[in-house]
Amino acid sequence: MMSTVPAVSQVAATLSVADLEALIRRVVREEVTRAFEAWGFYEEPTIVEPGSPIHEDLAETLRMAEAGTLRILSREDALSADQ
Amino acid sequence: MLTSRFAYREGWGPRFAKAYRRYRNLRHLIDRRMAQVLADPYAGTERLGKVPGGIDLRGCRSIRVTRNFRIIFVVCEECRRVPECRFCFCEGLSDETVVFLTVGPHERAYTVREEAIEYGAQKKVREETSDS
Repeated sequence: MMSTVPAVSQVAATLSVADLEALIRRVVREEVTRAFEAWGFYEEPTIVEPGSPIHEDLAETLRMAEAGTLRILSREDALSADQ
Repeated sequence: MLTSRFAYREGWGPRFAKAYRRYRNLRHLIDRRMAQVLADPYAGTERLGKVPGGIDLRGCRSIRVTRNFRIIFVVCEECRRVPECRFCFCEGLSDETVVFLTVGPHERAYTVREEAIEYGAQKKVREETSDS
């Protein structure tokens, strides 16, 4: 009796030892950080990178303050302003 | 008039309001962290500082929402005591006010990804426009 076996495509990747080491280090670092964060031992520090969305928001906030157009709103006012 | 059912009152900066609307899918997590901050803005939060090449964030604090998302805020009673603080927009507000400045990714890599998504969306719109 013949049975059919679904073909599975295989992908071969070639990595140098240095690339493989960097990959392993990155994966281990991410997993260890995640585990430590889950246990409450550690949280990654906040580093606001120039060009990140938070950085751009803060820069825009400063520009608005300098222009005198910055207003601090209540939650209700902030959410209703754009409805 | 800012009011609150927590120990601290909340004030929203315009960029925080915009980001809050933008990241709708994370709103439940953001709300939870905001409540935590308004109950005690010093517990589980991080003081920020001056990073070479970046904005001077002395007087500001952050709290983690997810691995790459942070809420940035100031506590009026604290930033009033930090002369270098550029984000103390607390004039007319009580000491027990937290001003939320922004929420979002703090790593640049995520900006690139967002731009790619937005670019893809714009390209699709252009193609649809040119087809019609």
